[in-house]
Amino acid sequence: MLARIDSAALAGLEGSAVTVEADVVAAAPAFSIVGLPDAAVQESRERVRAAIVNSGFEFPSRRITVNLAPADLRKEGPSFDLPIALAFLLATKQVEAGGSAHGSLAAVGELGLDGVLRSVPGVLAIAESLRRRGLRGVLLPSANAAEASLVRGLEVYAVDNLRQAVRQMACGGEGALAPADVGALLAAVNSGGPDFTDVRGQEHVKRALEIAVAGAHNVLMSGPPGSGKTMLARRLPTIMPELTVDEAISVTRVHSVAGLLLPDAPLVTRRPFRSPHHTISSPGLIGGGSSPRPGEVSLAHLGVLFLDEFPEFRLAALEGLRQPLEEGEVTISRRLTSVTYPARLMLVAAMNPCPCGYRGDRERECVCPAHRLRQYASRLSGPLMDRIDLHLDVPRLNPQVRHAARTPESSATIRARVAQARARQLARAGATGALANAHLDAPSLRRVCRLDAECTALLDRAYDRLRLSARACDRVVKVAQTIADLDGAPSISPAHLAESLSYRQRGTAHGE
Amino acid sequence: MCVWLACLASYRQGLIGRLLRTYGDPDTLTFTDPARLRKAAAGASGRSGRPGASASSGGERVTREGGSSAHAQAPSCDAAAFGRVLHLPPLDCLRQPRPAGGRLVTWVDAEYPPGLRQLSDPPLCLFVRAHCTEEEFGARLRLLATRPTVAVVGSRAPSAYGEEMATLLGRDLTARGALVVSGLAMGIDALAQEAALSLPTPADGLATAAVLGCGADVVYPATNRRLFADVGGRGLLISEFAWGVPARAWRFPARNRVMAGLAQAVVVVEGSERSGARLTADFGLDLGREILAVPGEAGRRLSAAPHGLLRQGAALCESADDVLAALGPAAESLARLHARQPAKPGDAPSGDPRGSSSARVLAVLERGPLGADQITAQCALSAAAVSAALSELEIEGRVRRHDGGRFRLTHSASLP
Amino acid sequence: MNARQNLGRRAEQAAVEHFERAGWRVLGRNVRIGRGEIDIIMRRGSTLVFAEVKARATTVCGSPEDAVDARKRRQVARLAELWLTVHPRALEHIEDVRFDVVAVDASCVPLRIRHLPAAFTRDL
Repeated sequence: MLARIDSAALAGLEGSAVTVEADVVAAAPAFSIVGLPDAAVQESRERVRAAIVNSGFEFPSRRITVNLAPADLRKEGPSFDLPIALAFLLATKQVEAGGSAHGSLAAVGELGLDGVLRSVPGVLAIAESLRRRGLRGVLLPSANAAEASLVRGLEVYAVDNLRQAVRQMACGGEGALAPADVGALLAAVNSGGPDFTDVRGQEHVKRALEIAVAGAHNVLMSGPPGSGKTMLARRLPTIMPELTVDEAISVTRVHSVAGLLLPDAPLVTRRPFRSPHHTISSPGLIGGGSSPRPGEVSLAHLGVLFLDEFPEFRLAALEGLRQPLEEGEVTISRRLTSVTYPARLMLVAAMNPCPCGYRGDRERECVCPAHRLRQYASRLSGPLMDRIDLHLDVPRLNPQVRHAARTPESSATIRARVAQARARQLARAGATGALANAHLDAPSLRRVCRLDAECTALLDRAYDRLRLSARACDRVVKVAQTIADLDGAPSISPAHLAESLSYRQRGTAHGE
Repeated sequence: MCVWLACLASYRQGLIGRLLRTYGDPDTLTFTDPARLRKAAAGASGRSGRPGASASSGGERVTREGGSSAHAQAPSCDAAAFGRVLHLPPLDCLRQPRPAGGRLVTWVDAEYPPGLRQLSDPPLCLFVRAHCTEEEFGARLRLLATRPTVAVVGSRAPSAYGEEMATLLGRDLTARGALVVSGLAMGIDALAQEAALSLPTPADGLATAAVLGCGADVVYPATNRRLFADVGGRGLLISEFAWGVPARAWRFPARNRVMAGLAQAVVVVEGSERSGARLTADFGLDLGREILAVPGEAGRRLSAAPHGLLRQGAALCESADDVLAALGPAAESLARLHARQPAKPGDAPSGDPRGSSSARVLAVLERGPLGADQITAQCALSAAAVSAALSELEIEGRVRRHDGGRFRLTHSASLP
Repeated sequence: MNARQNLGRRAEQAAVEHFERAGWRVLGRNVRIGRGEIDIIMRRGSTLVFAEVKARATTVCGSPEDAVDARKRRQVARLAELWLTVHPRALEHIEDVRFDVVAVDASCVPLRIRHLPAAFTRDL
């Protein structure tokens, strides 16, 4: 007797159609699973048998063959437990699929030995693929149900154990979850949590960060330990424009595949802030591993990737940042397939000014010898530095300055300004193809950011006196454009340019 | 003969000093039979290339500045080279190939710098390089003897303030006609010499002179390659070590004594307690040179050498004026002969700052260096306006940014 | 014939008698097939059973059913498949096919027989 249940496998960020077939015949008892299953899928046999028996069903002594079609797609993980169990029960006539007038129900989920259903990663992507295939609905673990309800047009039935799943199957599904209102979820983001108003003083750094976020520019902060670099970086997502519905889904999808969603928080509502330790490996940062998983750059998609102790990161890992910074996505190739994850992020790097951390500090002296200073400075060269548009000094503040500072602005206030600046950039996007100034390429830059005579003269003098490179000049103009956008000005003025110059990269004076 | 001995001395620390103890004075030495000298040299105890050998003369303590110990290695190479030269007939050394622009100036030559004759163990031969004609070379050598010479020395990892002072002194001293001499090391030395080179070459053709701790054809450190070429082109590269001799720890203090010998005044800009700069000053004291020190911030590590010297009675140096004053009126008038531009330190650049923001920022900075936030707080301007003003002031050269993001007024319209 | 074989023989005999009394029809004993043999093949109703008989004189070395390890399982399954290929009609009107273990405890008199139906399958 042959039975079929629809399901799906995760391939990158998408669900791939899988049909679970079960064939049960009277013959020497055996239980085999075919269709390129990995070790976890092979172990399904144990789990499924125990779950079926412990749920009060029978496991007749027959030859059972389960096929996970198509046969040339690798199947991984325990999420096929539920469809296999259901297919078996259908094939042994212990349940009959009912109410199939509008199409069939798919199933996804891991089974415990007692028949209880466990959550699986990547449910959002899977649910989206099921809907695209035209399936009516899906049975899945309660812990994943809220996530699946983000997908419109798919009936979602949350089940806690195998018995419930069987009941749902028999009646064709009842008590579907209401589809989630993504917009409402986003709007309901509660206030509280870190805010720019927590940071007293450091007005210059805050101003620079506002510019960075407004134009999606990458930033490098340099300062001694305890100057507040991490504190400021952590609050950056709070001044970034709020996620749109599409953006939230996009971020949620990545986090879902990485298995990071919680049952009661199925939607990622805030921009991500990822802060990997500098010992992270290349696959950890960029993504990969033997069965590709998203890396930190993808988990930081549409958010902030904070690299503290920047010079300590492995060069190989930093090399991999090139594609995300340039293209906004990362492609991981394996022998048979390649997977592309999104990775449009804002890079925020932080470092000490020298190995001991105190070069230039008011109170403590730097004790680094000359050759170590050279070594340290040399780690900051190369293509990655070319992508950093703003270089900031973050000094340690003495307490008086902190207390004397005016009440700091709240993130909401800053965010409003940023949103306006972004809107202006979006309006130009048609002409440039770039959603933010940081992504303007050289020809677009020349076209869009026209400098009047005064500005050109200033830039020339700066090029000469401050020894800028041509690339540095381009960066200065980009940032100046963002400053002008924040100002609401129709074009760049010398004041904008001059301010932009203050964020340039400064060479070290030691050696040429 | 001198050349041969100088080659030998390149590979064995303190050799000349030891030989002099046996033979008395350099003149006698140069006329002694080579075979006897050979025996004496070979027999002279003391390991080559090892610092702190007890029997060395001339107070050759080796202090390492900045903790770099990259070149205290491989004394065996020196021993091998020493052995090789020992068995050469002396005349062969004279005929050995020279690098481009290389010349020899020996003890017996008339052009041998008189200042060096005062050393207790003078180099018997100087290996000098300059990219110029024979005539010009002669002229440069003569200038080395006649122009008031000032050695400007200091730390290899100076603070921004030290960098500024080195540049200022290098430029102003050269502009007023003095000759700036230094060691071409990173940091203060290189900055002073670069500043000297930044002025147009005088008619007599000697912009600056460098004394090296290695062969005059060896570029050390590699990052100074361009500077090296510049000094060779418009000045003199001087070494007591033979061609191709690599840099070693013990050769640097040796070269410091030559620097002190060539100069009439030694100015220490910045340096830690036991730095090479301090050493050069000590040599200068022994030789009776004028010693000046540039004061630094109280209590800082890099102020240790200059402040130590000040306590011992060195003169305070804030500008080229102070140096020339210390050298005496004769030197001053001599310098005036060679002066190029009557630039005075502390000159405000021409032109008023554009706009009132810049003026306010400048006013606030009069009281001392400040960070951007502090300037903003005292200025009642927005952070954006202050940043813009600072950039403009930096372009004009009136303000300079330190490590750590503090800004200060520059002493004159120097390049940022 | 040594003591062990003797014990085995007696155990099998006891098992067969036990099953026949319980209504099973024994289709074969010590059935040789391929390179091995199946201890008992029997049927009752719509169930076909391939049984492995294990006898122990003492319970010191573990229970008889523990003696059926993975290798043994695969072997029995293979032999059963082979036998079914040769006797396809044996599956007529059969709905369940089982591998059972019959544990015979010979440490007491009369011999104690324990029947473990569906003790294993080829894979589990």
